[in-house]
Amino acid sequence: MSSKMQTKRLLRELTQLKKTPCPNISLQSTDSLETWFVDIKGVDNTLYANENFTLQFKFTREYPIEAPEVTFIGNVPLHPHVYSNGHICLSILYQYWTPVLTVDGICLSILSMLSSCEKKELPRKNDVYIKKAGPSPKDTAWIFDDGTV
Amino acid sequence: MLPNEAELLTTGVKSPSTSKYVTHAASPEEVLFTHRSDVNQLVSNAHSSGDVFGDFLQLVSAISERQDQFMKDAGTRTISYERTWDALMLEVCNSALPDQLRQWLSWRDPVFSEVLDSELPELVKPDISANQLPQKLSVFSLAHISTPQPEEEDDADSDTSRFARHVLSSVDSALRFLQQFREGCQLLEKTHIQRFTQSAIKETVAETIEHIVQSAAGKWGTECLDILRMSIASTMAVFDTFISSPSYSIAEFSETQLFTRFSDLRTSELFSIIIDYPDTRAAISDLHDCVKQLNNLRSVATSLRAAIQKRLLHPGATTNDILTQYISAIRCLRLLDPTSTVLEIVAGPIRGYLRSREDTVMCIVQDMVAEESELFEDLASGGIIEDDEAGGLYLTAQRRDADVLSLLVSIFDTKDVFVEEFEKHLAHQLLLCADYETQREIKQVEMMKLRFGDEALERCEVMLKDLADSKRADQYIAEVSVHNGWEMPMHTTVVSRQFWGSVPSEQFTMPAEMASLRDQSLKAARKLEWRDALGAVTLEIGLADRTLEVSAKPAQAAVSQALECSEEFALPRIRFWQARGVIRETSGGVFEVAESEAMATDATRNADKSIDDTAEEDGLEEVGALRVHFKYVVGMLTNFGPLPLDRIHSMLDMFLPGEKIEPDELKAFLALMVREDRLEQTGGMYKLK
Amino acid sequence: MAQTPNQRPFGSASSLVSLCNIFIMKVKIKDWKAVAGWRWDVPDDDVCGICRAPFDACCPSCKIPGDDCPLIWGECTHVFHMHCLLKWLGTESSQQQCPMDRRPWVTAS
Repeated sequence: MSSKMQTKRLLRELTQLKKTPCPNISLQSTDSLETWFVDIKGVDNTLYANENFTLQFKFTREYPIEAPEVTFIGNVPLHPHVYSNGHICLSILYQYWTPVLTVDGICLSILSMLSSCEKKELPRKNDVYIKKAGPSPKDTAWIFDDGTV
Repeated sequence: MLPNEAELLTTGVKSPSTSKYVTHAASPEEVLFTHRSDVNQLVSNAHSSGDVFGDFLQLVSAISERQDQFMKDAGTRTISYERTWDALMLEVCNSALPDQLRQWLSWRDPVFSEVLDSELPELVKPDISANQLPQKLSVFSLAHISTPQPEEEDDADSDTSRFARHVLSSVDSALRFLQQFREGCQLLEKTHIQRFTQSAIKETVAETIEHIVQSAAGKWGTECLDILRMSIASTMAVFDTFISSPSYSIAEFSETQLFTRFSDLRTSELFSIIIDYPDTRAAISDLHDCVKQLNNLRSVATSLRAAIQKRLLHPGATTNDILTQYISAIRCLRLLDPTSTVLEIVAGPIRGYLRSREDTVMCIVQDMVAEESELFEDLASGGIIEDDEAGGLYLTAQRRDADVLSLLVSIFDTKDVFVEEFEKHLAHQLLLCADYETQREIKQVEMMKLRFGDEALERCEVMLKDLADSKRADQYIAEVSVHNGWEMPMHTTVVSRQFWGSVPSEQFTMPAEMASLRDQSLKAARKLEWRDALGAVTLEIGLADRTLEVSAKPAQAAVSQALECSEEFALPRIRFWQARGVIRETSGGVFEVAESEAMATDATRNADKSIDDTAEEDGLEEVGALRVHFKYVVGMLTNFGPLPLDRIHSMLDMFLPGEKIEPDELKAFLALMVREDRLEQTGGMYKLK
Repeated sequence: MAQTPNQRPFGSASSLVSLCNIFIMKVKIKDWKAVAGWRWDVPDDDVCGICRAPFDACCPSCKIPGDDCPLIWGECTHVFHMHCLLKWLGTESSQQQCPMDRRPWVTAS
């Protein structure tokens, strides 16, 4: 029963997050176990210092065997790997997902992706992408050609 | 009749036309004032005679006289005399008459009153004329008085004849009383002051009823309401016959009074009634009748809540007491109110308080698994706690048919706490069980599953499986040992660490002998971690003239073989052996094996009984720990005579290098020895007794 | 057991040592009911990276820990509840890689 695995693992992660919160990451109150909202704060001395963003996590029944669907909602950061519809081009969320990754691990990866940014700009072909992209970024066939993301 | 009263009466009658009290020039206020003081005087004078009823009759007729006079005096002054007289009479009646009536009612010979209670209503029926009364009473009294006859002079002073004489005289006074009573009542009617006396009569009746009701205080084992009702009915019938008017019934009033007063009594006793429940079922049934009559359930519940808050919900009450009282209170309230609408008034504060107590869950679980308990029956009945939101759960539990266990479980928002506590209990039980027999525990877990759901009990299933696996392994080891002719005293329970809660750990080095024995049994593929704080070792100790078999904890057993361990660890355990007569302390801190029985007797005598298993478990008290060194103290006092504290301290330091004893600690210990009569202290010096 | 500085070896109290020496000759263990906890040979309190439950507990699909819910070690030395790992390897996206290091999974023999 993978839904049992999902529930148990999410409960453990929730307890862990509440017990030892990571800097710059804070969990909004969650109404359901299947959808979480996590606030992240841009790291000091980076382009996103003091900016706040909200990530939406949607967990399928198969989590953690299957990756969660992670998108920015509301205030979407201006970043070459973040489309204006909130979709994030980050390999660990798609082809390079592994079940040992956790919510705080994903948040840290996204924070470090933001921190390493040198110029705030939209991704190439942003307009084209958001026109043809479905609601879930997981339906997109991502190509990670530069190896850095 | 007192002379001054007679005079007053005569005076009143003599001059009916011209008032001697009021002059023609007097104002209405003066008229009123004069009459008021006049009536008041009559009332106060009436007290002074011994004949209570005679006084009352006189008072009534005197007042009646004054009324005529007042009418005359007032009438000539065009004031609204009726209203004024009414006011005057009300005032007088309210202040003075209750006293009169009370005496009147309380007049009754105690011996005779019982008989009178039952017969009086019959005797004073209006259709029986006054001259029939003596005859009736004589017949009646004769019927009640048995032999011997009074003329038998020899037995004149015997108890029976004394009683008979007493009854006869009582009949005589009763007779007088009844005649007077009738007269009085007729007079009351004639003079129309009846309407003024009603509130006074009410008060008196209420007081009388209160008095009768109080006789039922503390009698919770029988239903009292009907008995009281009959008793009051017979007492009040007298009033009712003569005093009631169509618009006003004493009987009705007294009935209401009875219910109110009795309800108040039982309500004030309710807390104690609940403590004694179910032996007090009758009292609850009485109260139920009252509540039905008065519709005052809410105030009964509120009063109970106040009593509970004052008497139960405080740190002095044990959680078990509170739980027991809560359960009984719920039972009683359900009897009083089958719809359970006011349950929350009482239950709310108790539940809140129980939630704040740390051991509530533990107490409930302990009770739940005790086979003779009521909660155990609830658990065994297999009722299911509905998997609901907290509020819903409580509402469900509030329902009349919810069993007590559900009610208790619903005190907490989550039933998980109960499962966790049960896990602790189960772990404890299973580790105690030496023979791997788990029938009882299996049954408990099955019952728990019915109520709390299979999933909640998964951890307990693992514990049971651990025991079953350990049993199988133990049987296998035993077979192999027997086959190979090995001696294998080890029986190991292997637990799955993650499922047994926190298993206590104790760190000490097992003596090599014991450790090697223990490790022989290690055959599992997984690693084993020994929990040496748990378990039990049976040792056979061979001594010169006897062989002892002692069951000890691993740590205690280890000391019997220990070559190397801290003194701190060893000393309390050595006491364990000392208390069992295996070793003895020869002189100050030197121990030896008590080889002979005689030495053993000596050993147990010297061993301090307070330092036994329990003391070891609780951790040794600092001061008590110094008992070990008492021999040194005795030694130095024997050799050097009386010594002050600082000398004893420095000498102990010398004898016991490395043993750090604080002067205060030593002082407290010596004081303890003085209290135990082993030492004497005079002027700062300690000496032997 | 390592002795902490403030714990004097019992042996230094001479009178007590002699007691123990006498004692040991005369004591025979008749019966010993012992308690032990089992554990997998993994670092203390380690959890399975996939289900995040302790190794000594069982995977989310099982109820009984131990032989019924064994661990599996890879040649890469990474270890998981066997059931958890099999579930992962059963997916296409796993590409038969170890969840920890994404190297091809080879079960240690």
